[in-house]
Amino acid sequence: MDFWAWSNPLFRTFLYLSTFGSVGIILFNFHFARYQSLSTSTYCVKLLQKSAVVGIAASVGSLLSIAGSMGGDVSSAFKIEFLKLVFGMKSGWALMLALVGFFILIVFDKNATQLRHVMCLIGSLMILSSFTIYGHSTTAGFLSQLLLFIHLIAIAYWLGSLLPFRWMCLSNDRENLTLIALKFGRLAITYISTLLITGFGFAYILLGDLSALISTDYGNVLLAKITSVLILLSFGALNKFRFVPSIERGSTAGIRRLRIAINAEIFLAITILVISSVLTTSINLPVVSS
Amino acid sequence: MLKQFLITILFISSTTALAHSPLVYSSPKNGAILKNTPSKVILGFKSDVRLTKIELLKIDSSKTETMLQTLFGNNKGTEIILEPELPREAAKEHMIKLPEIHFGDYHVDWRALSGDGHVMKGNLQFTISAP
Repeated sequence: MDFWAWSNPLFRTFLYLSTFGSVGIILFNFHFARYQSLSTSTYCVKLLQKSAVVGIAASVGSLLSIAGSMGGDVSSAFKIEFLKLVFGMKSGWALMLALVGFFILIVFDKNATQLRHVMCLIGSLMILSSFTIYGHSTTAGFLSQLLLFIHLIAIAYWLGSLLPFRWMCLSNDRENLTLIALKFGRLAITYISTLLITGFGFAYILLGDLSALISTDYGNVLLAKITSVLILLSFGALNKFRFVPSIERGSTAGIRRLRIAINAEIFLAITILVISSVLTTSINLPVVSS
Repeated sequence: MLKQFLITILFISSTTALAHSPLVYSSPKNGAILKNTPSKVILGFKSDVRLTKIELLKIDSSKTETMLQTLFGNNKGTEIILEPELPREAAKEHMIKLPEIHFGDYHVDWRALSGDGHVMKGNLQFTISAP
């Protein structure tokens, strides 16, 4: 195994983390900004900035790693002829699109005018679109691209909320935590249903046959991802039906349990993103018979 | 948390070795034992690809690889300089002329860019038997 064989999925993982970190925070602010304390609001601004910086680094790293993997050695990442090839490919354009999107978030997030909301929306759309214009997502044309785009929005809602919730647990911000968690749970029913429907629809288009889950490398790794998502969903259900009602009743232990559950969710989410990175960068799709 | 994350990434990334090897045929064939010195290597693919790397090594069984060498590229033997212009235009078959080589074990590493933008890689080995 060479350097580029593991750097490609590594950069992709950081690209996912920064995407869901930044777009997720924008969604979190869109839904819950008015219920946030000053401390949570400041935390979200910093988190968005940091996610966007990681996003820029991951986009540049991904561009270099595609060029590097063409030649195999580290110096290949900087060879003009390979970089020219990268910028002539859809994956190169997609990474440039994401790069500009992250820049827009950094530049305009600190701006306090109405323009900030418009630019954050444009930046988010650019980042999410970058995942849909090349690779496996183009398998069935516009339908698979649309499914993936909606799927990514739903993931961003879920994963982007984990760190702000963890922050609220740590800062013992009980009043706002309860309010936001209850509203988050109500909206989550729509978002998570959308996530599952689009996820299964997209997977079916890619695999063409459920038996491919067992009989192909791609299907096996996808099965591991689905299992992790189901475990993550169980934690989400535990939060919604056990811990949040317990916090609402005034239990201090409830906050501690919610924080532990969120830590476990963060770990599982990272695992799922690593699996997704391997699926999109390193494993061929099974051949679908028509 | 960070440590667990890195371990997970390294563990799962190790599956990448199973990906992408759509070579349909080659000359010499992988594992071939030849009596005569080949004058060229031919790589045939399922569809048009752009060859981005071709490397020929004469295997030196006395050489051992360190962990870093394994990570950053192989060092199994002595590299024999080939002079193809890379990257090449997309084609299903790529022919690479070889310089004069003598008996011994040889290892060919190749990389190519597929039409959908995936970088593929593979290798083949052949032996030229002593006269």
